[in-house]
Amino acid sequence: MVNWIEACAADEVENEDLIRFDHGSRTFAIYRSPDDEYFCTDGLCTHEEVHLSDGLVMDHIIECPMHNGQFDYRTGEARRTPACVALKTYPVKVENETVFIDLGDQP
Amino acid sequence: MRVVIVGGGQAAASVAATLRKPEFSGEILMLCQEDCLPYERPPLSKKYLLPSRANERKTIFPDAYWPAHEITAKLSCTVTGIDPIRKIAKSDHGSIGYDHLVLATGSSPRRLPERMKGNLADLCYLRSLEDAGQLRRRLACSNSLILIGGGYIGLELAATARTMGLDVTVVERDVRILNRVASTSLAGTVRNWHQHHGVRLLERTEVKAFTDDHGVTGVLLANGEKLTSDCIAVGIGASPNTALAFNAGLQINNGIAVDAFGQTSIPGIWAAGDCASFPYFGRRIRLESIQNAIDQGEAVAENILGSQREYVPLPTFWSDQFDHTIQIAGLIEPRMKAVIRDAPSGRSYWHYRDGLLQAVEVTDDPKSYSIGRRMLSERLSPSAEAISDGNRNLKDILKTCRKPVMA
Repeated sequence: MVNWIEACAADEVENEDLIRFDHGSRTFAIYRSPDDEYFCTDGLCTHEEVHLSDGLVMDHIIECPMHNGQFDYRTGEARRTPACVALKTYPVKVENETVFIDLGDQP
Repeated sequence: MRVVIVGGGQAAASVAATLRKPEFSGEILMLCQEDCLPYERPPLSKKYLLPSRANERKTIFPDAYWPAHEITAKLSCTVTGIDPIRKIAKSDHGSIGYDHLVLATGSSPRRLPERMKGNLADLCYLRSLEDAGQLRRRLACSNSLILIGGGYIGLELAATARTMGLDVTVVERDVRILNRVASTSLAGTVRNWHQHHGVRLLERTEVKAFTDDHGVTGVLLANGEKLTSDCIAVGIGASPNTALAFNAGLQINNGIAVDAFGQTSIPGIWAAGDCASFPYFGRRIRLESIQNAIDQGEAVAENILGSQREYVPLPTFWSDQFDHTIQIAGLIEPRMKAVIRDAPSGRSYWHYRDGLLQAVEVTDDPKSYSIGRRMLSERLSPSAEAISDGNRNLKDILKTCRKPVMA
């Protein structure tokens, strides 16, 4: 089931950066790549529960601010230890300057 | 080909996991002295000690990872000798031949001289899961704790014990806490945290002897004052575990001496992590941090597989105390000039020498740390004026530094 949730205005996320988006009891990270594409992953690092929104985006990599684990935020793939479990990713669409994420069947 | 790793800590795990990544089909054998698979040590001075937490180690990889990647971990296996000519590691599990041997033997807490101990039954030290288990049980039935040593381990323990409600005193022999590992400015901030939470910090204070009067343990200070407490723990630094390497004839120099590739003085024998000292900008350093264990382990594994990658790290470090986080990138050294930058959540200290950024210390401001660390790793040096201007966005400063200067 498709379940589009309004996350933020497109211009709230700067180019090559991310913001935190909380929805219900969950937290997500919304990314804007250097070529202005938008992506969404779970908001906490899979290593220790640290908010990725405090981390640094460079190209297509998000680096966790705590232990420098890295993920490709387009696929969620863990790219550098101590991160070894992939981040969950969510479909994203931008309509009318607004970013929507698809949480699917999840509440 | 068979790679044998002596050790079962973070560096050993990093070597093993990195070897397997590029479809290396040789045999990987990890000889772990402890009776459990590699786990993370940093929580041992923090969360692990809290009675509210489950008494569980945090493993570096899930248990299923090792067999799935065909990495054999021999637990409770003590390596007793190395024969570098015949390429054999001798252990209490028998002799094991190798093509490459990696020493990831770690470090051990530095101990106070026995004569100081007097009739005291025991002093707590902290390194292993077993040490942490003992300390956890001791703290659970103690009302007070004295810590000898105001370094990171001592201060982390102090914060944890204070959070649990114990009366805590830290005794530091040096002129100040964190004297060799943090700037004066950062140490001042950390001192404030501890004092604010009611930890008694005694700096420039020497311990003369320990006492035990009918089960009441105490510390006699050089100034004549006597402190008593239910539990005494010691955190006065660590020494690299070099005995095995020394006995095998390897060169030792503040740790097992390795070259820029991580190879010891005997080809085919490598070292990584707390136990290894390596060349670093014209001198030799040894780092005790999880980041170094991971990164040097990766470099050694790649070099075993034939890369010629020089290991020139940007040292990074972190510490959690109370609800604060310290993050450091670069090495803090004398004669640095600090520029301080305040953020809503915390503060960052940017250390310059000869006009170049050398290190960044951050409290409770992970975003500034991420950017500072990135600048240092790319060897960028933003001007002190730009950094001290709180209205300028750090990421913009980073981008400006990255742009090639137009002629």
